Amino acid sequence: MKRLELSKNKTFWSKVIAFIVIALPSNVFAQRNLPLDAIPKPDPSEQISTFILDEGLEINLFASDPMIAKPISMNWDENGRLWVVSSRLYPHIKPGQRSDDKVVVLEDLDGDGVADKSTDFAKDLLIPTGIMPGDGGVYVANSTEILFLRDLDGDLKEDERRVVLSGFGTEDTHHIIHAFRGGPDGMMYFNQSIYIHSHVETPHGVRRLLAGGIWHYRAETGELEVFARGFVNSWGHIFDRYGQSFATDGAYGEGINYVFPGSVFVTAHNTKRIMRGLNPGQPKQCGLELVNSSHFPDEWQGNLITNDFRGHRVNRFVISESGSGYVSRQAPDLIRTTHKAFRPIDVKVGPDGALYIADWYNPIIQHGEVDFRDPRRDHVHGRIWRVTYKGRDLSKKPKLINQEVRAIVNQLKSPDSYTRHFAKRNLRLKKKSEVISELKLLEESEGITEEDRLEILWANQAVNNLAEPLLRKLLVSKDHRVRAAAVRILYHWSNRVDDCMEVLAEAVIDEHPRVRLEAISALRQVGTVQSFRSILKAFTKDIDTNIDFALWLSAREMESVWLPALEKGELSFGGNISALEFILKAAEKPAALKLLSSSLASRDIPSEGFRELVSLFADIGKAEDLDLLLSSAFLKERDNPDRDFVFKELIRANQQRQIKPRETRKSDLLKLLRSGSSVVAELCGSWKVVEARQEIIEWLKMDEKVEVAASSLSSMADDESKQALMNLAEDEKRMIHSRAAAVGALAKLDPVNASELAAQVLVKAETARSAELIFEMFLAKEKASKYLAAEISGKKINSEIAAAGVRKSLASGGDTSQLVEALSKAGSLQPIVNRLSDERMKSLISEVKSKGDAVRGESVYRKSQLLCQACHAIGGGGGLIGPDLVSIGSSAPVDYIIDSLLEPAKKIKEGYHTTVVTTKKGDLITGGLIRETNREIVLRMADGNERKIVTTAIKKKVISPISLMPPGLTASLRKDEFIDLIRFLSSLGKEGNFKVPSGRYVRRWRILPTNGKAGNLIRTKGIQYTMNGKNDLPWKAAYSQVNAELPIEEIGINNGFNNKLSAAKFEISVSVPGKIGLRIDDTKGLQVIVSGKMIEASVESVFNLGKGIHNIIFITDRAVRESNLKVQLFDVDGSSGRASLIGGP
Amino acid sequence: MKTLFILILIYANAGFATAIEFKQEEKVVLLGNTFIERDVNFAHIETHLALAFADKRPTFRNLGWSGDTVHCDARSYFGPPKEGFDRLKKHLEFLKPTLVLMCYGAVASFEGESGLDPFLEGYKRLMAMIKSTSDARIVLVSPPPCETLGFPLPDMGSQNKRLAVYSEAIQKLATKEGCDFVNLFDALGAGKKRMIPPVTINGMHFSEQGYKRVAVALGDELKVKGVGVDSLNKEKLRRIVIEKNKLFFNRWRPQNETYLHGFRKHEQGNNAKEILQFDPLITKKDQNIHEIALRLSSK
Repeated sequence: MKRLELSKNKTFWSKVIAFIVIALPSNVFAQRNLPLDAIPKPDPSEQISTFILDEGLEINLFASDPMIAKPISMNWDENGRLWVVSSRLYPHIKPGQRSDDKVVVLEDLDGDGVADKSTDFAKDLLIPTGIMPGDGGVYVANSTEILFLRDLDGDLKEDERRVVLSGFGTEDTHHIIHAFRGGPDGMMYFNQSIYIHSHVETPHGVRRLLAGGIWHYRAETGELEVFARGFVNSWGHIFDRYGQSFATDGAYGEGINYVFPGSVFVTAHNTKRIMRGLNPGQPKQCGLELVNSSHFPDEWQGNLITNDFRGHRVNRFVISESGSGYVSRQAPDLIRTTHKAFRPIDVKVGPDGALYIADWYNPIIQHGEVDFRDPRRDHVHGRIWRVTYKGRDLSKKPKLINQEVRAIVNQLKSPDSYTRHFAKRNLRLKKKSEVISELKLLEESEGITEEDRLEILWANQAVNNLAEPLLRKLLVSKDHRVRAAAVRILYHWSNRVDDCMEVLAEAVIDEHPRVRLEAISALRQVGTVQSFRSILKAFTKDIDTNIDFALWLSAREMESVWLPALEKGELSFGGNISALEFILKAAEKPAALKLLSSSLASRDIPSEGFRELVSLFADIGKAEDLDLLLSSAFLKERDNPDRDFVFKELIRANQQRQIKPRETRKSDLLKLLRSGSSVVAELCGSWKVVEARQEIIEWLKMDEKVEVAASSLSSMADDESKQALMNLAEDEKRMIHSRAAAVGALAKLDPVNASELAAQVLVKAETARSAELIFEMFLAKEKASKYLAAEISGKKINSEIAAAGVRKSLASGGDTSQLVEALSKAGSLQPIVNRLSDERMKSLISEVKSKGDAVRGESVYRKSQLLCQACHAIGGGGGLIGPDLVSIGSSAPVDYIIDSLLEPAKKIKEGYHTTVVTTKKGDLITGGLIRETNREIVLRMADGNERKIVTTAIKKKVISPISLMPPGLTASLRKDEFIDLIRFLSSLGKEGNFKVPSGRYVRRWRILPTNGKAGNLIRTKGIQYTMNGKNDLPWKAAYSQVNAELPIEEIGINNGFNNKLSAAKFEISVSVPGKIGLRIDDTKGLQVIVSGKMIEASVESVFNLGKGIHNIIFITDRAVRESNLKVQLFDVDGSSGRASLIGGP
Repeated sequence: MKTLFILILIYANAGFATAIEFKQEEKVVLLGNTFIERDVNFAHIETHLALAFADKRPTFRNLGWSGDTVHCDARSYFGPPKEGFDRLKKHLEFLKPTLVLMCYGAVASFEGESGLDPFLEGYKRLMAMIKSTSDARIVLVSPPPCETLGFPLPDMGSQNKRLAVYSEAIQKLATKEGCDFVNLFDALGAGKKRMIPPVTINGMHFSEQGYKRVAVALGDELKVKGVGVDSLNKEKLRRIVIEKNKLFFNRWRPQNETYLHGFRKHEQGNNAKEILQFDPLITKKDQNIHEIALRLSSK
């Protein structure tokens, strides 16, 4: 048999792999027997010498193995002792292994910043992942349970054990409950990750949380509630000085996330909408701490510290207010290093005000993609590092033990959050009445600030007391941050305040958006018609993204309350139609559609809003609603793209719900059809408008129309249509491509009978694209590929065509093994089952190290035929189908990267698994799950587009072990190119040139091809005319390199009469209007167009921009400019203007 | 003839606590929600029965799952409850129990009257499923009462009223289905009198001492003869039962299920073979338990 050759050149890969097996033999999972040299020498002094610190910082080793091994999470106690959970069992207990994971207590007895004593408090745990001392004991996450352990005799050993909560999922041991955090309110907050499904009984009823989210628990009442939902790996959570929550995530890279009550984030269970992070394109992070420590200088106060555990860095973010929410900017890293085992995963401010960083110390992270038993996993080492600021005094350690209540209460005024926090925790152990009266005394004492009052209010809440007079005072505080915090108390305790409704009715129209946001959340908790009426008042004020979300959530969650009231006429909108439209849209109820019909017919509804409505009608409308929908398409004012969108949605409604308008307006449709509208041809097919058939059959004669005509006729599916398709399929005079289109259309109708014709055409096919028309159809039908396989067997097919078919088959959802086998034979492809041998892998790895060149590798990565960028982003710019590769090099060993390119299905990043939907009609739809609700699921297809499927049309949905990345993508590379590519990927995120720089650099561009229509326009009409926004220009995607530069060659050159102009643009989203700054590295030959005005670029350009999305266009004069484009966004001092870059594909 | 006789006997006693007799090598499955699950850590119920029937060498497998219902909500992982139901069926097919002690109703009763019919329907369906997988005898146990421990913990008075309604309904169901019933709700005081010291830690979930009482109450209801064993020795036995329970927990409900048997098994499923290695370890513990229980009970 001939070996597969995908390209004319003898490629390295043709000798090594061709295709990946279908039924993987069990031994492919076996570990590679690689040398253990990947574990660096575990000498802490060697490790510390590799650390590069931010200016002003110092670092010392607080504790190390054997005192502490594999620290997972840590928290301080009021005594200044550090409690650490550590696990040698992670990722999975072996049969016969004792579950002997530990709680270790570290003590620095002489206050020199180095731990002197380590005590094993408990040592029979199973992968404990969270810890928080308090309430006279310590809370510990222990697999399915939260334990409360107590030491009764003061020897720092567990004497008593109680399960306080149980029923937490363990579907993945790096997802189990974690990030225990004492709230300012006296509650305990903790998180769970994406694969976890928890079912917890409490005396108040059962509480369930499916997928990720944040819980809160009040120990003394047994109340457990969900605070926020979603996240992939929400490994960090912190409260700021005013009780607002921020979270980090170890898998979805959007940096800091602002979390408010009820907010929902990526991959939450059953949700239609999600909130986004504040730093898109960030590496993933673990742990989160707020600097509120007098040891650090002023400019550090309120900064957030988190860990890029993949990139071996400790990051710092500066948070500032923006509307109801925040913006987050990255500041220089605290620590960076090339040390492979430095895995900072938790960070906490200690009693001395220093930052303590838990270093999990492991060359291998997690176990989803790396084998449980990979011998390179470290199970014994671990460090706690201590970071201090040079030349500054340490914070004063609080005195809380054996103190009078008054002495403790007075420490609520401390500038250190550590002290205030533990003072509150300590008060929970004291006599409640005494605590309350002492708090009252403090409140009435001299020199009390608004922040102090807030602490006093929280201290009351911590002892489960509502200090109502103080609460009322703070509800009208001059400081909006304090007002917002006061409203949060009502979120939890609305039933404890008699006139709560009046108070919230005021707060919901507060002048500050964050107070309004809090009020909406509190009113939603109340959940009555009256509270919903108050929520509606928020529509009279500005609505930003967070408030919009909170309103949407309220409309959905409270629908059973307001919809009946609305129907009874008990809900008034005071003429605010947009509010009515908003809640009706959010509720997605058929009964609401009639009320929305006027919006649908409105002449001045913006396109985006119109399309939302159209989809809603298509999703849930009855036939009479679809009448309205169809009419809306024919309104005179309707733009063609919007009109076509209506038609597409009507096709979808008919396909998925078998529903169409009662009146199909045939003559209007035929008119549009004759003018050449492809989408109308599809619509006529879908609705079986037989009057259109003849016209469409005529289209079969035109090679440029044949695809749409064939598709339409297959929907029409009557005898005449089939005959016409058959004639074309058999017509040997026509182009293969056209015949393939006909065959594909026939296959959709009757795969059994079409397979013979398909085989005939495939034998003659010469281009992959023609063949794909056939493959796609057979693969999109349940079981259809078998018939094609049977027809192909025994025939000869061009090897390139066969290879394309195999690739398609392997990336599709059904059982395609027979087709792959048949194609492999027909194309003489040798199916090489084996993956790389260990020998081969070893020599390849060493070649990557010795010969690989990451710079050359980056240009291989950027080659368009490899399609890397179509599916993957690096630092936020690029496709969304696969994971962002920003720190792949620092998280994955080289052999795993190589394996992933050769066998994409072998290891799939969580959140990127393929979902295969089989519809009731037998269609197979394969894509990545974007979101899923009870009503619909939305998939990201391999071409990057979203596809919505209503639940009622679905027969079966499975998460499939295939990857959307087809195998063999790198098969056309020469060996040296492959080695360079691997070198590049394995450098990503590591310290050096392939770490994404931390500024807000433009990474996602649109460039204008220099040939064709755009070039003509520029040459004939001039650049300004071309860019006036009215021309439909063929912008195409481009992405910056890792170093944030867009290569100038990629922008192209237009050879005009006296210039060489070309254009590149990017988009920004302005959240708060005002001045927005652009910093441009080199302005030579560069002009900028913003809002239609063209100006010369300067190194720092400032624009005054309104809210919304803006295009920033650069015109480069290639006659003078040779350098790459590198552009950064910055905040302008003194302006409230805030903007973020739009990333993605 | 003998079978018929037993059938009649069971039927005559159906719906009421009856003197339970263990068969040789009885394979007992404990099934339910948090109440059952937490006996994994305490093992009082199991130790009590293991001693009483030491000569029969019974084995116990606790399939309790926090938050679970008769619809198997908590066992469903990524899927709908039906997947939990199918998963339980698989576990039962694997364990082949001869006796199933089941306790549901604590979760559903929070929903009050409106939850009762779906609960009973679900219970029937669950029992039918169990019968389809084995010939096991089924004993329905009513959920235990709650305690009102005082502010700031909630008053459980109304929950106890609901539990009383559910218990009665479960009893009727037992009668109708011809299986035994244990009225644990009444046996533990029906929430009417305050236990001193309290038997729960939060009004709902039993403490270690609470489970001790539960074990005795359950045993008495089943008319199991208590065995006089000194507390030190009994404690030794209980420790081993707990060790066995933990091994079995890692066997039937392992962590990392997503990778071992779930949708990512193609990546890490090779590690699932390790899970089977728990079986001989569990068997060994069972033997150990039998030996000790027999020695202690025949003293």
